[in-house]
Amino acid sequence: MSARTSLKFPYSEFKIFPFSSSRRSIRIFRPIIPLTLFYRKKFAQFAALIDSGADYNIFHGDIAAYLGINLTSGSRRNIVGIGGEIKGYQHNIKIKIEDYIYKAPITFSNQIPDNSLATLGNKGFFDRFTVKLDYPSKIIQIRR
Amino acid sequence: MKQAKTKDWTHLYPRYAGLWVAFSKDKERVVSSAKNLEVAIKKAKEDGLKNPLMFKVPQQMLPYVGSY
Repeated sequence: MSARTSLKFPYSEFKIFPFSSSRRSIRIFRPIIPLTLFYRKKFAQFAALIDSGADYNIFHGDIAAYLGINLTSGSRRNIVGIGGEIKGYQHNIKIKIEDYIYKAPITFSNQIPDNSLATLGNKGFFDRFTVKLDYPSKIIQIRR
Repeated sequence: MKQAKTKDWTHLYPRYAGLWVAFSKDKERVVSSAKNLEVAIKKAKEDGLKNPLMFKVPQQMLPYVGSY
């Protein structure tokens, strides 16, 4: 991706429920983009939520295990959000978004709740790109 | 205002709740799913996908604000 090139992705549409036992669903749209993570000879592509309110990139511990990363060898990070605190470990990982490859910290955690999503936050994502979330048009634009 | 075509992931819940899913190249159709990430990727690769897009479907589909 050159300095003048921008990438566009569509929002992802979900059917959610206003509360657990509700039969009524609501359609919502979330800014989720695909990216590939590399570690040594292994790689895999994941979908992650763009969240400007998140300080870090947070991914499931399953991903670290799949890539062969020794989870607890990373730098310890305690992450707080609505609902509580989780423990994770930060590793510098090679990330590929379309054709652009860079290295950035990702915190992996085995304590991410079952209802939570892999998240791209400020350190390691927003500090690398100019991000435009055009909700009315349902377009995500990232530019470096 | 004209809207872009969104990725339709409305079919993920409740069928794949709590599972890792692998999408086909169109990033909408699910080609494999499993509780275990490695199993889901292996199945998708057996289906011919070299680098399938993986997503962990939440156990519940409730309004979300980045909760931990």
